[in-house]
Amino acid sequence: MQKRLLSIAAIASLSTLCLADEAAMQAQIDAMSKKIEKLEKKQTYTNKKLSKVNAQSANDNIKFGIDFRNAVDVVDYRDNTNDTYATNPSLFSSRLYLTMGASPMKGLTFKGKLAIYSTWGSHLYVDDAPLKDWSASSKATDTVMRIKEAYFVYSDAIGAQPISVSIGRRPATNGFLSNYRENEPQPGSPLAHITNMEVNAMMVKLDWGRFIEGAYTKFVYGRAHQGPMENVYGTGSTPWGPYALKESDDKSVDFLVIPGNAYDDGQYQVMYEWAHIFNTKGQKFNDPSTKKDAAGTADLLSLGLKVSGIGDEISDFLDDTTLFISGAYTNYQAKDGFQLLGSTDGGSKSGSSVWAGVIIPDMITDDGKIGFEYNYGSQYWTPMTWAEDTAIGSKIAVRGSAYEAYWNFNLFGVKYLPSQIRYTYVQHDYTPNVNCAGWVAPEKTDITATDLRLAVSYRF
Amino acid sequence: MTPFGKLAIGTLLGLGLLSTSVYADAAKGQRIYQKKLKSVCGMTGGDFAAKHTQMEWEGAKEDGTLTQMMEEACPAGKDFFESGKFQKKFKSHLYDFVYDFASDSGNIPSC
Repeated sequence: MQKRLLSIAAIASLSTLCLADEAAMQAQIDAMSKKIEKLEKKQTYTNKKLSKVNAQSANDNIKFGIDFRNAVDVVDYRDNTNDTYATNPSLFSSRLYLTMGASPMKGLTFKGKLAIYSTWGSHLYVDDAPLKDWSASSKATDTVMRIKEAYFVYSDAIGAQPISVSIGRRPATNGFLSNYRENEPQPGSPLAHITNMEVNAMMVKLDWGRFIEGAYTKFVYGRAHQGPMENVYGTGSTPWGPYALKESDDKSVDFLVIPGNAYDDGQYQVMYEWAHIFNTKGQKFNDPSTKKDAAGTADLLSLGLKVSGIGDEISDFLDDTTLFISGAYTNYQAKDGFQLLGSTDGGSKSGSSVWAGVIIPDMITDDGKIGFEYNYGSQYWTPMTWAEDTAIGSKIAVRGSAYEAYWNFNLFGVKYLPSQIRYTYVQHDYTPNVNCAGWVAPEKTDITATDLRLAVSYRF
Repeated sequence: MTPFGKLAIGTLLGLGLLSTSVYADAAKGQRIYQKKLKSVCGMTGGDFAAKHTQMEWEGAKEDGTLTQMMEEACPAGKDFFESGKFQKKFKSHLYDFVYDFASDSGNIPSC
């Protein structure tokens, strides 16, 4: 009996202990759950805080990037008519872009690019007469930092019509189709076949994407050349007038450019552009002593097709292949009493050009591409592509034929070190179109120019 | 070609061939979005990427829920996101794109 009682007592005390343990365990679990809940709340708060800090450091201020390229160009010129030769076996250059971007609110962005593009051992300040505002950051010169781009874009909608407006120094260089030869991931705004210049302008963009995939039109009005003015303080002029325009035939050159996407589904892209240039520089009729006079107008037209990827997932090689072809036309119309490109009094001169290219995977490196391009331009073909970054002058502007091959690859396989080997062969059948010089009549010539460029960049 | 030109081209060729690292590519991801998803999703690549912060995209990648997160951001793209091609070929590039252009990245895409 005693034994039984003892057993019952033991069982009872054990059960009590178990119950006590269970309750304690439950209490511990509850406490831990509360802690986890607290930690989760803290984690959510930390994540939110971190995103805010991230946004503050990136979104609410300017975000900077670097594109630093070092290159050596081997350039040769042969005038086959006179059998003369000029060369530079090692033109070293450094180009630093300090890129900027900010978007303080949805629909408003700012972008900028400060540039130093210098030859090694350059003069302190290069002020060659032909070097102008519209190419100063695109041609290797001195170590002065200049503004290559600085503009803001505000996007909104008027009813169902999306609209963007922008003002500033536009992304007007290395546009559509030229970014491959420049080894740049994105093209600038215009069609590089007819306009490749650094310019300041106002822009209105109307998006037609709701009607045709990827379609839009931009209306850009700006100034490429400022006519001569009295100096900053107006000293030495009568009547006194700081910044007042001087009486001269050298008028300001304004332009209206209308580029756009006719269609873009990510694989097929068709772009167009019409550019009208006011007060194009030329000369008085039959008066070689004059030049840079406002002699008339120029109209430039271009239409280009780019195919990014052949077929639909047939093979990786075809997916990563790009083809393009572009046609263009220029017409320079002189006003009465003037001539342009050797035209008659008040006459006009027209030119045309074709540009084709193919870019394929190099099949050696992971992301490397090899490109081949061909350009042809007629005698009076005169696009405004003088900021094109080719040491021997714009190959797109060739009045003759140009052939080009390049290999774009990442040095050591590092994507932050984009590099390039590029060879450009240009055969000028008529006077090279290297500058804004409508007073020069293109004449028969036979000049061969070549440029071998080796470039290594740091880009992040 | 000058001896200098030959030497320089030889050196750069050699260094270029040392390319061995495989990287996902945000620019490629942007092209993939434009080609495969822009019209399907009915929004720009920038808007798609800005659906989440960098930490959210990164977290989803680590948790293995990236496909699900992309599907939630663009339900119409379900078939594409669940295709074998996407998983094998496009996912890493598209991730690089959405991470680079996430809502708190400060980067501004053009597509």
